[in-house]
Amino acid sequence: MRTVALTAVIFITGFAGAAQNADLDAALVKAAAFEYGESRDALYEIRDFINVSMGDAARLRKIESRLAALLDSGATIAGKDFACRQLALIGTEASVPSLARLLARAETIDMALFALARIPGRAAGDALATALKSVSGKPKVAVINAIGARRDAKPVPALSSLILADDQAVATAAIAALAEIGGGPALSALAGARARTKGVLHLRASEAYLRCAATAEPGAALRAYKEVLATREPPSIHAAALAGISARGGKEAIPTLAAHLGSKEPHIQAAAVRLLRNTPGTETTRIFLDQLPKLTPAGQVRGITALADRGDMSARPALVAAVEARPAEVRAAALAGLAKVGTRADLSLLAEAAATRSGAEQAAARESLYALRGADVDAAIVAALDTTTEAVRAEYIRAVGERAIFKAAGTLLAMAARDPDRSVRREALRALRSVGREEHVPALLNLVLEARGAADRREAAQMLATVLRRSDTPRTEVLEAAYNNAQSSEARAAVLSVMGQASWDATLPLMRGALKDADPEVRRAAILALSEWVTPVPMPDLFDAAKSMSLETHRILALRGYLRLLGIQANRTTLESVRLVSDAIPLAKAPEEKKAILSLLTRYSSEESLVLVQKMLGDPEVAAEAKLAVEWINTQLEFSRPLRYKR
Amino acid sequence: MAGFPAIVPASVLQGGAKAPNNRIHVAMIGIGRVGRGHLRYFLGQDDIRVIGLCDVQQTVREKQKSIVDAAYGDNSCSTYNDFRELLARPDLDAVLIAAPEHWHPLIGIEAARRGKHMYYEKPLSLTVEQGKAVREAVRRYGVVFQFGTQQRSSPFYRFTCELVRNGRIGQLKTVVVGSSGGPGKRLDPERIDPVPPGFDWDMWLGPAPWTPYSDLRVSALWMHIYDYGLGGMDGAYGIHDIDIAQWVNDADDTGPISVEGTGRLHSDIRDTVAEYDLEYKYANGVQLHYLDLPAARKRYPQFEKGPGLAVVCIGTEGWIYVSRQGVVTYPESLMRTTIGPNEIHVRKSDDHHRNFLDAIRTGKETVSPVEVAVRDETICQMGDLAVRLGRKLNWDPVKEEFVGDEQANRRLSRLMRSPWRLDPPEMTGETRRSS
Repeated sequence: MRTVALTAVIFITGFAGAAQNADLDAALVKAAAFEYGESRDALYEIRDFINVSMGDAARLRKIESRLAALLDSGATIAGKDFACRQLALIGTEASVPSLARLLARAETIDMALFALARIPGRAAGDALATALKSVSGKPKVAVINAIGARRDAKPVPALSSLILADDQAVATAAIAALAEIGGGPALSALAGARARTKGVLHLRASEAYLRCAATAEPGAALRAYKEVLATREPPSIHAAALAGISARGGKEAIPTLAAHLGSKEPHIQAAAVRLLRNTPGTETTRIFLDQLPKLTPAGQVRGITALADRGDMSARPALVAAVEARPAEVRAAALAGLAKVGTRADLSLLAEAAATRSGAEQAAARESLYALRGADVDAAIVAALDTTTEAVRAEYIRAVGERAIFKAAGTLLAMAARDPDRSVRREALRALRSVGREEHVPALLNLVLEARGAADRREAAQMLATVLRRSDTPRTEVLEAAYNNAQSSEARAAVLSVMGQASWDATLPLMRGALKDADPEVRRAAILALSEWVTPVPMPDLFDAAKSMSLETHRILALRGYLRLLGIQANRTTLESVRLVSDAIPLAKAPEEKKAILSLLTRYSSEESLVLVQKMLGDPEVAAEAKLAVEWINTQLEFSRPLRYKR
Repeated sequence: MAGFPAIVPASVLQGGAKAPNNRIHVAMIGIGRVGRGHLRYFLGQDDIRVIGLCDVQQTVREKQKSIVDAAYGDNSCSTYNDFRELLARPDLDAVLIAAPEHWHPLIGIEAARRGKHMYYEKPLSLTVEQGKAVREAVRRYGVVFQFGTQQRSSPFYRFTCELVRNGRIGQLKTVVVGSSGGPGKRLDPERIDPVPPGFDWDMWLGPAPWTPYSDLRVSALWMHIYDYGLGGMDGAYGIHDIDIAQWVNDADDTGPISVEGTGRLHSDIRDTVAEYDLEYKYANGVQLHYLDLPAARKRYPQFEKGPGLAVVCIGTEGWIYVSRQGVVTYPESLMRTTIGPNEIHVRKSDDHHRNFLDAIRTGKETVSPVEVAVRDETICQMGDLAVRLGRKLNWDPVKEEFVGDEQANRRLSRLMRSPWRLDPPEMTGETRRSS
């Protein structure tokens, strides 16, 4: 830090007696000599001193005088920059002369303006007005920006005179400042600017005019918006004028907005739709409905979406009709919109569309089927379950699950057990995940044990596990009895799968016994079931199995399960997680497991995981993945390492 | 006519899904760590075409362009040093703004006046005034705005919000946010370094006060330097969970009425809030307790339920812990609740980018619109100022200013380094480096 003879300047008024004031004096001396790149300790001392002084006006004034004195001294540029930042927060008119002197130099003008823009009172504004007359080029732009930021109306005439300045940067700054200041005089000045300018300046003047109009009284504002709308301007300007008319015009704005619904200019058309959407009343809905057929497809999509968002049920027939419209995007919008304005009467339409259409239309139809509101909708869906074709019935079944219609559980149980159509059985089993309850468990268990084939059994096991997890009390005895009474390996495996997904720790002893079962299919099922656990509790069991199982396939499955559980959120440190991954590395022989390990190491990014990944760079089977993992971990560690920008 | 399709805005022809001119033309502004993630997403969507990349670092621009070119099998993607040149393209529909935080409002406002839709990375702004200016521009020009608080597109957070809004934990009393920050090591002083070749340092600084270049300043911690961001309690994560606090409290168009608490500022190259413990009150009686995670862990046992940053909603009949890893509830049976179709539902989105693109096509409001962004940002700003001023601050969420507090209100705005202002000046050519 260079030595500067500042002490005399800064100690003009001392804080007698207080130790912390003495510290402040010392800090101010250091601040005056501060250079960029040096320790900021002294600056922070001053900052903190100011922060704790915010409730003490007298003390703040004393600090302010020291900072102002620093500005007038031979302090470094960096020191003055710091002082200006503080004066922006606490400065008063008393600091203005010192700050104003900095306006004369290019290297200090920005920092001085930073403070002057925020210091209240006339003195700061007057200093800027004086500076405005004496500077040109970039400094003039800087001063104008500061005047705008102060939002002081006094300089409006001076700014108005700059709109036609030769320097375009000065002219655009003046236009922007007038918009920032706002009010009637600025609006008049900008109206004149629009009339007298062309090209970029005219565009800027029009934008500023609209912005300024928002601060004017309603009549003047509306006149301004309409004036802009009536002249030739880019679409974004017209869209902004429409927004202004909508905001200030109330119901009177509706005809103007309606007239632009059919605009060929997408930006304007979209603006009209958006603004009308937010305009309440049946009259607006009627306008939409009248215009809808005349709009472009993109306009129809926006119009239909807006109609639905308005929630006006009178729009329903139009949306129902649009379900058959062209192109597909319009149909999808209509199907989606029925979620908001549809009724029970639209259920069959939606279910049919969900069953027969594809892509966005199918997705929209399903979402609406699930979201349709009304007290009688659920009952209608249940009534429709056994009256339609398989594909449509499957959609209704899905809706039962998504809407959680519990009273349909009995019907679904019967369907899951007996319906000849595989897709209907599957959908019924899936829906039962939502609506099956504790009292249904015996019947649901039968669905698992008596399933028609492996696919049904898998679905049934998932369904039962979901229902059991929802139960308030673990029903371990039911599962244990089912396992012990099961007649086939398949049935025992299915019960084990349910246990795994239910993940009740009380069933772990049985699972551990199954790992040692004489039947290799049961052992395999136990490994898979433990791998499905929703917590990491069985990790030691799987790790042991991965090391000691007699069949290689079982060891591999156990290792995969271990790695899966290792990825589950757990209450352990990153370092502990990395150590657990590290334990598995010697057991991983195939590329798939090695990749899983790399994936986990990136998940637990740390210097320790990086070391392990780097060791795998030499393994040709996973070298490419290891390289990516190194890059990923390095990226993650950017935040925790001593920070250096990488050139 | 050979070059004609390239200058037709996709918006003119929106309607089909995959025809080249039906694609939404997107550009990236800021392609650092966060921007790159967004770019990967966009490159995977067949209804989007990335037509431009903007960054003040030449090496970054060129590297990411090579990735875009490889993905599309051509070299049509253009690169820019100055966002204004990119935003002037008539064939551009939408931008993703992921530049350093002090740039966000200027780029957002310029994008709006050019009629471009925007996916806007958090935070919104460095001051409340700036955030309000972005809102004003977005509304005036009617462009689609999606704030980068993507937790609103997560089923965990949506489920939590709907549980709370439907009274499943009784009456909501307190929302606790345990977020980024806490005690940490002090960094060594910065060292002034030469500006790397191809790095437009003046443009990187832009509206921020001038300072010489240093490697450390542009490393991952710039968001903890007050000239460029508000640190952990805002853009460096905190605003994500503040957004959820607002959402569960159904306060998207309002905010707290007061804040008070304690905190500590960093005192190395970083000068943002490091540690904080802040209590906000809403007019509806709900309290928001906003703490750094270590402090939250000491105060609330729920933060033992997971390893990271999280939100806890406490009601008269239960609580919900939610993080990006999942949801934990008390009573546990809440986890098994279904929100029926006739109950309260919040806007549904499972993909934040897709929600943005859908909004461009349909005119539907996004799941994180600009009003939400302003209110989220205001809470972060209030907290920052409460720590700096060391006293209780009362806020008027209608007037959007502190009540009777000149010292606090003075800090609602900051002047930008010239020639920058919220309404960005015209490009003069000095910053042009396009290719």
